[in-house]
Amino acid sequence: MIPRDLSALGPAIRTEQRRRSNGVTIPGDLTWGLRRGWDLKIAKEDVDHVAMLARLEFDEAEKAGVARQLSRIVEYVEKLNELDTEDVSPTAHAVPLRNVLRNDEVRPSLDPGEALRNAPDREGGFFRVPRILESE
Amino acid sequence: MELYELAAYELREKIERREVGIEETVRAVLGKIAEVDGAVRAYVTVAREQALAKARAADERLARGEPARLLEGVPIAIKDNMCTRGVETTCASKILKGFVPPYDATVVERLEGAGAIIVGKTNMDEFAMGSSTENSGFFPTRNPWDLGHVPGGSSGGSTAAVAADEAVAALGSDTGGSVRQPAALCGVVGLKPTYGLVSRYGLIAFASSLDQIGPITKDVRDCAMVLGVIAGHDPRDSTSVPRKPCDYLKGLVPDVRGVRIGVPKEYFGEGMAPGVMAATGAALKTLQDMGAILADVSLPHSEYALATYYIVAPAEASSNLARYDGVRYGYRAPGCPDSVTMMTKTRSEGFGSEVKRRIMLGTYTLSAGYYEAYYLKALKVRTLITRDFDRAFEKCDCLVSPTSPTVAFRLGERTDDPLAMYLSDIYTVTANLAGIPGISIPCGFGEDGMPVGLQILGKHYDEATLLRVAYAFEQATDFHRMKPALRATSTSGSASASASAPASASTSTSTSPSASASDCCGRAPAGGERHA
Repeated sequence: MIPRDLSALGPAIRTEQRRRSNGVTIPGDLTWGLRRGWDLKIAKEDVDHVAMLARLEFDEAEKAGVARQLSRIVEYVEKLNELDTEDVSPTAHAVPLRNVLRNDEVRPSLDPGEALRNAPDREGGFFRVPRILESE
Repeated sequence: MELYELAAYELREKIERREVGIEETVRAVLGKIAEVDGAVRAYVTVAREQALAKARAADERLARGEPARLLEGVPIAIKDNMCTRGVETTCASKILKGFVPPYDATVVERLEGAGAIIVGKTNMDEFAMGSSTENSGFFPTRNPWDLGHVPGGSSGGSTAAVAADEAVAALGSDTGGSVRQPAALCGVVGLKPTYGLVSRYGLIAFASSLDQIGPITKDVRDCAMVLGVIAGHDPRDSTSVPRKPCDYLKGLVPDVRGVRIGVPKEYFGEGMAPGVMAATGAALKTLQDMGAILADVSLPHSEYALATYYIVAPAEASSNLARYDGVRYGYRAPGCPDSVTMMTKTRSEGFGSEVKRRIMLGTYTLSAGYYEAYYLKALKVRTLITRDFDRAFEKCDCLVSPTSPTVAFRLGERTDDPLAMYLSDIYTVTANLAGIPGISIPCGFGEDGMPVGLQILGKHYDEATLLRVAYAFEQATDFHRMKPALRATSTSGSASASASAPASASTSTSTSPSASASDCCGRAPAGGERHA
């Protein structure tokens, strides 16, 4: 019942285990391994950095789990490095897209009251948020 | 036969001939929901009063002598990631709990314009991220064929609702297989249209270059009927493709003689469950016996599709989900001293773990220094995958494969391992990456007596061929007429699963699962977003 691609996953998992059991980091490939000596592709410090960028936070126990799961997924997706894509152009959209323009005409839009109705906090015709700038 | 058991086209005929009233029809479906949804839990919101009011108005309309429209009086369920004006829309996320959209998604407008009655909003994996509906922020949905098994996902609420006769038809959304895979696992028909055929306006965005809305129905005729209503250009979605409308019903001929069907060898490799293999093989034989010409084809980059998908989709998601910041709608963490803290706490408390995992993954692959190694690389491989299809379609009119490598698994079986869960989508993600249409139709039963789906993939905008092949197969078989038992069995083929499945899953048939929609919100999170 194990889907086909799990076989591709096997070596990645085994590699990770081998690294840990030796207590030494054997870089899987140069792009990655040279950056820092980790047991995992994504270390806890990386989790901190990425979480900050994404405006998320995790407690210490969660961080270890996130690092482990992301590392596994990243090792798996590095499968793409098997392919030479030097001369291949990227596809951002499945259907060729050009700029879609419309005439610059005033049209009805959402009523401000309606637009504000779902806001967690509001004042007058505005969304209200906690302080943004540091006080003096 | 009860009204809720009828297909949409049968029901509409009865309504047109005034044999049954629309309110009567809607009450029948609402009654079925009241009877079985405590066990199935397909719905997040049942819009009982709105549905009855609209049904009465529609009855009056017919009484005045106005003609019956294409979907007149057909009770339809909508996945909870499509905006419904005045009806709560949550994406099954705590971060959107309480959000009441001030506008309708285009698909909702079109369905209602064709006379359909929306009966409710269905459960899903939070923000459509998942393959089992277990990632719902509220509660899991059960597979009507065996309540101890998942319905698939992410549109598992919609497919379970149709399978259990809790809706006559439904809409789902498909980013990597989220219509087709749960349709297969629940034994119903599910179509992912060509990218750009159906407007995404009002669909809460997951991965904008992959998302498509599609019909989930009891049979292929209904699928063609619903597709005809929701397809078409919409200026409010800039990726909507301007094309002439197509009459999909006209192409439904039970004849596949001379149709060249490609069988991609990469989709029949190791890892497929024997029961799925057997049912798919038998289906291919049936099509061949009916006069279709089978040809072996190769899609050599298939093995890279899942890795490509899991770079592209989370990258787009991390960007799309940046809008949930506690400012304009949705949940806001209380008592924060400044805005950055408020946003961080709001997102950390409001999103579930799979959503956070994908935001983290997407943010990581898009972050400085990694963009080229991951995201750009994936976009290039996406080109290779698309070329594979272009080449295959030079030799054949459509491709046939299983929809998913296994039948529905047991609840809890794959929740601890994100990658094992992702593997449910290996045969479906390619269509989203290439933008081509795909349909899943019931083609038999496999392990544990659970349904197996046959996937048919076609050329861009060639839904007509998919529907024709699907219709011909359906006319020659009766898998689509089988009805689930709506109970749980304790006999499981997979021994390892029983330990992790919740005890209630294998024993209860009538009691509600323990998780409850109300456990998520003392506060009023909310928020949804339109697409451009």
